[in-house]
Amino acid sequence: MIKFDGVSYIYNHGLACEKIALDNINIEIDENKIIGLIGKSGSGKSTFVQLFNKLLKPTSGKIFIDKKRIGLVFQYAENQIFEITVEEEIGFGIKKYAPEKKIKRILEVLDLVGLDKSYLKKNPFELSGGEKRKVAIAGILILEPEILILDEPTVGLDLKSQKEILENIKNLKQKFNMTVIIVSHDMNVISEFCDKVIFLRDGKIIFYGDTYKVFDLNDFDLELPWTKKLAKKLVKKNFFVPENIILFNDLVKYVVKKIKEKKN
Amino acid sequence: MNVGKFYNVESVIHDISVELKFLFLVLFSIEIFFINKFWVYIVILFLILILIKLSRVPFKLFFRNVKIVLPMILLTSGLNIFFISQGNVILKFFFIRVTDYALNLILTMMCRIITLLFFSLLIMFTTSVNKLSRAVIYIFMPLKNFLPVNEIAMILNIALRFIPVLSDEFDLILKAQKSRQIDFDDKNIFSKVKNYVSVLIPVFILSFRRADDLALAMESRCYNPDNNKKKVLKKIKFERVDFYALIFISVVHVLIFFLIISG
Ligand SMILES: Nc1ncnc2c1ncn2[C@@H]1O[C@H](COP(=O)(O)OP(=O)(O)OP(=O)(O)O)[C@@H](O)[C@H]1O
Ligand SMILES: [Mg+2]
Repeated sequence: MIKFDGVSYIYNHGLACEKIALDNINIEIDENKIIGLIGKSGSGKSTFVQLFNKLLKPTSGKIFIDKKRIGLVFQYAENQIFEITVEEEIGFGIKKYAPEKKIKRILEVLDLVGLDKSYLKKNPFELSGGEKRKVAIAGILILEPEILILDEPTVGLDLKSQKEILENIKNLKQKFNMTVIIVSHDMNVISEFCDKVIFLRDGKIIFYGDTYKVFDLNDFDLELPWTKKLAKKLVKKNFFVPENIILFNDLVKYVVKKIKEKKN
Repeated sequence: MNVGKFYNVESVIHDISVELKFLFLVLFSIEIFFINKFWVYIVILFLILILIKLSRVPFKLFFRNVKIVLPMILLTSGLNIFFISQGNVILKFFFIRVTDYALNLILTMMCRIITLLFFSLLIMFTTSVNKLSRAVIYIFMPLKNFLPVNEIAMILNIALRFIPVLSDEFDLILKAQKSRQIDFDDKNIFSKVKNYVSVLIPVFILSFRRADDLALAMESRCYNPDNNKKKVLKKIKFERVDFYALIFISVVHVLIFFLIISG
């Protein structure tokens, strides 16, 4: 169970500069799904995810989560690196494991984020920004989280690495039945990878439901994914596309099918 | 966290010019060595409370900052108990003798540090970084032929401005490491130190990188410290509130002066 009951969070509570970041959040989040968390800058996304593993305590309200291992990958995760080899950096969370088991696990998660074993002995500070990010994500994955939260995991990565990491997380989720929460400004990522979406505005949840539905909200004020844009254009030109089609492959399949039908 | 951050509200204390605040602080930190009666400090603390009330800075901010240094104050003044043997013994256990003289000395010493701390915090909270560095320029101006005054002010300006940024950064990285199961409440002192290293290294690296970026950014915008001179050298302007403050400061110091010589 992952449930928020009337949760509010106020920064600098009681001071003149106090700031209501989250305002009366009530939600029960579906488990074993990939959940997208979207909203404009400053809408409270990062604050929201920090409540999950008790890094922040709600100013009021209650949170019920019956999972113990909750992994949170921070925005700009590469800033947390401190060890002198990639191996030690990733393995820091499982220091107590036997050496062989440890190295096996490290290689596993290294593979998950798309790095090979030549990286093991490298100095993490000498890697590129994207590679550092991958190392930091691996350092969380090694803890085998039951809930995995990624705060803008793909900002600043090349498109191929973005896709690689997200595909791997999707596979991981299927294998281990994790609940994954992805914070992202990139609606293409959200539409391709998320089963459900939480939409925050000014610290309030204004939508929680299936991904394709969020893009049809009347007051949706973020950039649409380009599959949705294309579908809308097609609809305008009298080529009907059902609104629940937002995946690239689905759209292609649907259009090809329709064109073939017409030919016959 | 709110370590030494300018607290931006409007109040009488905020309006007083920095130069006067500094004058007050300098005078007070000289006088404080001559005040050795305990009850005078009670009066001063009472005065501080009124000033804090006037400044509209919440008291808990002061308390938070004082709490951080309190253990240090207690330790350094507490140690004196073992080394001062003058006066009448009022307490005795094993080999430790506490004399009335030592106790009085320690209490006044603690009061000195705490009152000074409160006044400094009050100035920190009610003065923006720009005004502070302007005041520094004024103070060092007579030395401008020997010292790069503008550069010093700029360095100070940047340093002060980055204290809150660094403290936020420290907070954030602490959280990031906590979410990797790094245990900061570890009983073992060695693993505790090791765990804090995992926060300090990233913070250091970030601040070096930040300094680097800042230097580049300033250079690319053609920063030249001498350009500031014209702007800085405009006259100190006294407002009405400053005259009240001046009267207030005079009265307080005259009172303290009389207390000192009458004692
Ligand atoms: N440490 C802090 N102190 C004070 N206010 C804060 C702090 N952190 C965040 N806030 C405020 O809380 C609000 C929500 O911030 P939050 O970081 O959760 O937004 P976000 O949705 O993650 O934005 P972004 O997409 O830019 O990361 C913002 O208005 C911000 O100004
Ligand atoms: Mg954020």
